[in-house]
Amino acid sequence: MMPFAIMGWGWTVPAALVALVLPLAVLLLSFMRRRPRPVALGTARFFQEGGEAEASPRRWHLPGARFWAVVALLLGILASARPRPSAEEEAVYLLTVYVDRSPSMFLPMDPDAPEGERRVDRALALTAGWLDTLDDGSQRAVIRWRALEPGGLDVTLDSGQGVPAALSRPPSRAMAPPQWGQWAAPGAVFVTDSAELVGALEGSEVGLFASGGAMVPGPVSAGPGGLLLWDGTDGPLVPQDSAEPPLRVHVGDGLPESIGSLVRLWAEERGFRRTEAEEGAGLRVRGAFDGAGPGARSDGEVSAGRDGWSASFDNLAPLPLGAREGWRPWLVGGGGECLVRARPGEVEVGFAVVRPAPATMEAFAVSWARLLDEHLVPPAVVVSMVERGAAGASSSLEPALEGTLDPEVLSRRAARAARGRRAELLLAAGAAAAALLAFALRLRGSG
Amino acid sequence: MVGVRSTGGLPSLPSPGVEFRGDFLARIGAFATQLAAAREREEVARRRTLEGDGQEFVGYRPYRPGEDLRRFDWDLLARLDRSYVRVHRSEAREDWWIAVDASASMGVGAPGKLQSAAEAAAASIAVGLRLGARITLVLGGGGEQGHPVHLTRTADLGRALAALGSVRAGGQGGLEGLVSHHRHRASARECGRLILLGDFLDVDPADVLRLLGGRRRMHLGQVLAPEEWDPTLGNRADPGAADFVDPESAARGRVGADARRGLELYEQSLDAFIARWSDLAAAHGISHRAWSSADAFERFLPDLLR
Repeated sequence: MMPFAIMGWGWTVPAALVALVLPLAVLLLSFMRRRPRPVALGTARFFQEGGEAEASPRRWHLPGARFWAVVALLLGILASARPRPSAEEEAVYLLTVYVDRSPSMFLPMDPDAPEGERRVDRALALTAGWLDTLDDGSQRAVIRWRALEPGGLDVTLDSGQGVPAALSRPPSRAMAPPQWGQWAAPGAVFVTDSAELVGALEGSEVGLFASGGAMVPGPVSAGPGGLLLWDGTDGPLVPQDSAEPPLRVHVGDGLPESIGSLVRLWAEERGFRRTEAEEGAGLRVRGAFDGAGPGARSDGEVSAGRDGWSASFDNLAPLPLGAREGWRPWLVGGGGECLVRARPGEVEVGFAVVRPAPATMEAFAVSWARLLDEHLVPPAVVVSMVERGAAGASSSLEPALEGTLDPEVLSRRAARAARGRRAELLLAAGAAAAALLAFALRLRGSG
Repeated sequence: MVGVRSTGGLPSLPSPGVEFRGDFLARIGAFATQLAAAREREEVARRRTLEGDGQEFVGYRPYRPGEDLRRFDWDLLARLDRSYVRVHRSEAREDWWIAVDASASMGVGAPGKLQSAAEAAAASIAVGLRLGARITLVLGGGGEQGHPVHLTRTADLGRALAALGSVRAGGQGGLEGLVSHHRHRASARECGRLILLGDFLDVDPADVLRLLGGRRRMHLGQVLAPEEWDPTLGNRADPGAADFVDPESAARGRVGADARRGLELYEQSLDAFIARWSDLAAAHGISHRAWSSADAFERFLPDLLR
C-alpha cells in the first residue's frame, strides 16, 4: 500500500511532496502583513479629496498572477509525485518450488546424529520460513510444489498451507541430481542441499534455499560380497561384513519362460539373492501379460530387436510409456508398441511368448543382461561418494517477485497505473495552463 | 534615467531628468518645418483677407521639400538654377515666452512628465525660431527659478536643448513660482505668445490669467504621467498595495478598502481638475491641451500651438 494515501489515491514518489513547502511559502509571504509600497504620484491629493485617505485595513493580498503561479506549482508538484490509485488488494505471487530428491538430500545434517535433522528438512524449513514472510495479509503466495523425481509430487497450495509432508519422505528409487537449468524461470525456487548454485543464480529471478551440510561417511557401493564403506578420506573402501548379500532380485509373475530363466541365470551369475518379496529388492522384473488387460492380444506375432538380435513376440500386452513415472521404453515393436520398459529398480515385459532368432541368441542374452545390470539399484543406505560429500553452508537466495504476480492482479494493477498516468497528465496539463495564465496576467500587469 | 532617492520618507522619482535621443533633433526639425509652413499658409491667407495685417518680405532661403510652393521663387530658379523660397516676417516681430515646470512632481512617470514637457518645449522653440520669433525660455523648480535663456536664431536651438537637457525635477513651486514672480511676469508681459508647460497641479489660475492682456496669446500644455491617468497601472490586481505620495507636499493617498469606489472618486477628481483648466482656457481664449507623458509631442503640439 502506498504511503500518504488520500481518498483512494497514493503517491509513487512521495518525496516530491516535500516541494509543497514552496507554494505554501509563497502563500505565507502573500498573507503576511506588509507596509504599502510608496509610489510617487503628483495627483495623490485626489485620493484625499475623494475622501478615501484613510489607511486601508487590508494588509494582505494574493494577486491573480501569483495565485495561478501557486496553483501551477501545486499541480506540478502533485504531478511529479506521480499519483496512483491506492488499493487494499493483496498481491498474489505464483511460485514453483522444485525440491531436489537426490540421495544427498536425505543424509543427516550431523554425521554423528544419523536420526537427526536431514538436509531436506533444513532446506524445506528455510523455504517455509521465507514463504511465511509473504503471507502478511497484504500479499500471499500460491505455490506449486514439485518433487524432482519421475511421477513425484506435483501439488499447488497456498503459502499458509505449509510444506507437503511427502517431500520429507525419501523417494522409492534413487534419483540423480537435478539438471536445474531446465527449471530456471521467473518464480522458480530451487530447494537443494548444496549452495554451489547461488553464484550462478545471483542476479537472476530464481530463488534458492540450500541446507548445506557436512560430509557424511557411509556405504557407497554394494556388491555380492556386501557393502563398501567410505570413511570420508582418500583411503581404501572397507567392506562391511554381512550375513546376507545386500542386493536382491525379485522375479515376478507373467514373464515368458525364456526371460524368467535368463533373469535367474543372470542373478546367479552376479551372486545376487532372489527374493519373493518386492520390498527391498534391488531389481524387480515382471511380465504384464495376463490375457485380459487393455490392448492384450494373442492374434499375431510382432517382430522386434536391438543390440544385434531380433525376435518374434506373441501374446502381447503393450505397455504404456509412463514417462512421468520415470519409465523408458527399452524395446519397441514394428507397430510402435512398447514391449519392454524399464526404470531404476524395475523392468517390465509386455509379452508372454518370445522366439529369438537362433542366429542371434548370444546377442539376445548379452543385451538383456546389460538391461538388468543398468537398472539394478543398490539398497537405500548406499549413497555415492559424491553425494556424501560436504554441501557447504546453508544459503538462501530469495527470488524476484515482480515477475511472479498473478496475471489477474497484474491486469488490475495495469488498469490502476493507466488511471494514475491519466491523472498525472491532467495535473501536468493543469499546471501548464495555470502557469500560462499566471504569465499572461503578469504581462498584463494585473498580477 | 536614474530615480532620485527621496529623503524624509518621500518615494524616489522614477524620471527626474531629461534625455534627448539621437533622432530627436531630426524629429523637431521635421516638425518645425511642417508646422512653420502651415503657420505661413495661414498667415498668407489671413493677409489676403485682413488688409494691413500682411507680412514683409525679408529675403530668401533654400527651399526645403514639403514647403508651400506659393512661396517658391520661380525667377531665382530660372536665373540661378537653384531653389529658393521667399521669406516674410510679420510686421510686428513676435516674442515667445516658454516656461517649463521642473518641480518634483514633474519627475513622476515613465516616461517622465519633465521629459515630455522638455520635448514639447524644444519642439515649440524650433517652430518659433523657424518663424523668426524671439524666444525666452524659463525653467521653474527646485526652489530656485532659473535664469531666462534668450533665443533669437535657429542656431540657438542647441543652447535651448542644452538648457532643457540639464534640468532636474525637484523642489516645489514650479510654474507657480514662474508666473507669480514679478520679474518673470514682467518678462512674459513683453511677449506676444506665452507657452506654459507643466502639470498645473500647484498653479493658481488667477496668476496665469494675470499674464493675459492686449493681443497676447497663451498656450497651456498640461502633462500628466500614465500612472496619474490610471493609478492601477503596473498593479491592477492590487491597487490597494500602493501608498501614493505627492513628491512635493508629501501628501499621501490610498485607494481605500473599496478599491473600485476609491478609483472612481479619484477619476472624478482628476476629470474635474482637467476640466477646470480647460474651461478656464476656453473662457479666456487660451489654447489648452492635456496629454500623457507617454504621448509623442507630434501628437498634441500642433493643436496646442494652433
